[in-house]
Amino acid sequence: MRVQESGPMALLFQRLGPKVLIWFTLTFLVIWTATPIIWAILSSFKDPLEIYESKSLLPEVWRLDAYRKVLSMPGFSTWLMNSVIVTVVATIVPLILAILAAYGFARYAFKFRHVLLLLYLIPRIIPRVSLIVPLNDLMSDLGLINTYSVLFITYIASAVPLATWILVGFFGSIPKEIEESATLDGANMWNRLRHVMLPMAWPGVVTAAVLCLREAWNEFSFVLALVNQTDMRTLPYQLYMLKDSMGIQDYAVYNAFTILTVLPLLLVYLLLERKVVDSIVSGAVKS
Amino acid sequence: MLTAALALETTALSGLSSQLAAQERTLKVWFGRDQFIPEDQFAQFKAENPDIAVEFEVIRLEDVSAQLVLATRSGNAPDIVQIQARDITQLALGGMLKEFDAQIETFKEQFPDTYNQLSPIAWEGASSADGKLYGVALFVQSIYLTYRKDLLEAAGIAMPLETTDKVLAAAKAVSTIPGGGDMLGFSLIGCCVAPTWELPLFLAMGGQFIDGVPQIDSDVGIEWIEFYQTLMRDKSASPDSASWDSGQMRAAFVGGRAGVMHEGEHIYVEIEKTMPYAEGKWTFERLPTRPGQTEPHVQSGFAFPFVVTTAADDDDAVVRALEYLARPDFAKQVAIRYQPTTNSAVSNDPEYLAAKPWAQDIAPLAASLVPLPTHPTRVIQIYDVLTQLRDRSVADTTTPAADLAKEYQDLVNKAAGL
Repeated sequence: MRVQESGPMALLFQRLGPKVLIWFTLTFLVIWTATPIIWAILSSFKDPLEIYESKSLLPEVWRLDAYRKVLSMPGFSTWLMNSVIVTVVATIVPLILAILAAYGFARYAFKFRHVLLLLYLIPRIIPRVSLIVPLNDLMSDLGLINTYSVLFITYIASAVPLATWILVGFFGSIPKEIEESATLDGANMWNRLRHVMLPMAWPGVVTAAVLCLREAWNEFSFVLALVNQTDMRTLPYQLYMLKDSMGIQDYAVYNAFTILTVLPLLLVYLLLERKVVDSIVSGAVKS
Repeated sequence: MLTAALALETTALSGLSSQLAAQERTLKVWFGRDQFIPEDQFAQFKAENPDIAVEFEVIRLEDVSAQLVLATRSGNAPDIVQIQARDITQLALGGMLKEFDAQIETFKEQFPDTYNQLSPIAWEGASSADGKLYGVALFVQSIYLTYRKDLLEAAGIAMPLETTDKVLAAAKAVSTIPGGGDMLGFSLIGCCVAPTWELPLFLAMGGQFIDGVPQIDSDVGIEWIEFYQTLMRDKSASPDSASWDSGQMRAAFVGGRAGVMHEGEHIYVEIEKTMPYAEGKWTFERLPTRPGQTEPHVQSGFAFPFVVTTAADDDDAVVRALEYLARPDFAKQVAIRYQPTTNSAVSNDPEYLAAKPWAQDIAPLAASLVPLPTHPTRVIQIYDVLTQLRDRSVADTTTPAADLAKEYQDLVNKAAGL
C-alpha cells in the first residue's frame, strides 16, 4: 500500500522540514553558546550572595554596584589602556609581517618552502607554559621584564604564525593569471601585493586580524609570567586577580569585569564582521 | 655677584644631591591580597623614614611562590614577600629567602613594644622546618566549627558539640527539621581547592604527621574520612557538595541555608552582614575531637607570613617595614576587614571589638594555635593527593573508609617521595 504523499501535512513538511531542522539546530546552538553569557550578564546585576542562593536567572533587584566597583578600581583605566596598546601593536605588526611572509610562501617556489612553513608553526605547537621560564630568563637578560616591549615581542611572535598560515591559504587561492595580467600592465611586486592581492584576499586579512586581535586581547600566561607590576597588567591578568579562594567569590564583580573586558572586543568583532561580509559579497560580485 | 650666584648654585646642588641620597633606599614589598595593604599605603612610614621609598604590589598568595622564583631568576625579586607558611622551607632551600634570625633580634631591641605584642605563632609561622626564622607572620587563620545556634536549638541539639558524633547528629537533625525546606545540616566543600578545612579537623581528631606526612591510614584517619562520608550518606550535606567550591560552601551558611560548617574567622565578617553575632543566632567552637579521644586536641592555624628574600640588602629598612606592618594600628585594619592578626594588642582594641563582636569569645581558642604541620619540600604534591581524597570522600560513600585511607596513604607516601 502506498503512503499518501500529496496530503497538505506532507507538503508542509516537504517545504518546511529541512528549514525546521536547520532552525531547530541553530536555535539549540544559540541557546547552548549564549546561556553562559546570558548568565554572566544577569549575574553581574545581582547581589553576590544571590548568585549562589537564588534559583532565579533574573536578579531580584537590578543592581549596578558591581559595575560601579569595577569602574572605580584605581587601575582600571590603566589596565584597559595597556590591553588596548598591546592589542593594537600585536595585531597590526603581525599582520604586516604575515602578509609579506604569506605572499612569499604562496607565490615563490623556493627551496624548503613547505618545511619552513611547517617550522613556522613551532611557536604555536609548544605549550606556552613550557616557554615561560626560558622566556623569563631571556627577557630578564635583555632587561625587558615589566615593559611593553616584552609583551609586544611575545604576542607578536605567537600571532605571526597563525596569521601567516591563514593568509597563505587565501593568497594561494587567488589565480596567478590575475597577478600576471597586472605584471603585464607594469605593476611591480609591491603594487601587485597592494593593489591586486590584498583586495582579493581581504576577507582573509580581516579574519587573520580578528584572530590576532582576539589572541592579544585575551592573552594571559605570558603577561602573568613576564609582568609583575600592577601598572603593567592587562585586563585578563586583573580579571584573574579577582579570583578569591579565601573568601566568598564576588561573582557579580567578576562577571561585570568580564563583560567590560569582552565588550570592546565584541564591538570590534561586530564592526569587522560587516567588513568581512562586505568583502566576500563584493568579491563574489566581481568574479 | 658671580660668587653669590655660584654659592647659591652650590647650595642648590648640594641640597639636590642630599635629597637624591635621601631617596636612595628603596624597599619592594609583595602583598598576597589587597586586603593586607595598610590603608595609608605606607604614608606614615614614609613620613617617619623619608629616606626609604616603599613600592608594593599584590601578587596572589596562590601564585606567589612561582612568581618569586621567576622574579629571583630575573633579578627583580621584592625585598619582602607575603607567602603561605607551607612554602617557607621549599623557598628557603631554593635560596630565595634570607635567614633573618639576627635581624629579628634587632627588631626586638629596636622596637620592644611591638615585638612583645606578637604571639609566639608570629615567629613559628615564619620559620622553616629546621627552625630558622625568615620574617614574621602577622596574620594567621584557623578553622573553627561554626554553627547556627537557633537551628540546633530548634532541632533539640545540646551545645557545645565538642565531638564528631555530636556534630554528625546535629547536622542530621538540622537537615530534617520539619518545615526546614532545603536546609542543609552541614555545608561541605567537595571540589577544587586545597584541603585546608579538612587537615585542621584531622589534627583536632588526634591525627598524626610524621615528617610532614599525614598518617591517614590509621584509626584517626579512617574516622576522619568516615566523618565526611557520613555527612553525605545521612543527606546532611547538599547532594551537590561534590561540585561545591569554597564560595558555594560559605554562601550556603552565610545565606542562612546551612546549620553547620567548619570555617575560618575571616568569613565571620560576611556572616555578620546577614546575621549579626549579637543576635545570638550563630556561634562557634574549637574543632571537634573523636568521642573518647585520648590524644590531645590540637587547634591548628596556617599563617601568611611576610618573609625576607635574598634580594633584600637593606636589613634596617626591612626591619622598619616589618615593624610598621606589625603595629597594632595597621594589623588592626587587616584584622577588622580580613584575617586575624598575631598582634595581641589588637584583641583589646575597642574599635576592633566593636567591629568583631565575636572577638573576645574567639580569643581563648586562637591563643593556643599551633602551625599546621607541612612537609618541607613536597607539600604541594601531598596537598594534591589530599584534595583528591577529600573530593572522593564526599563523592564516594560506598567504598569503606579504611580502603580509602589505605589507598590514599600510599599515594601520599609516593607524593612525599617515600
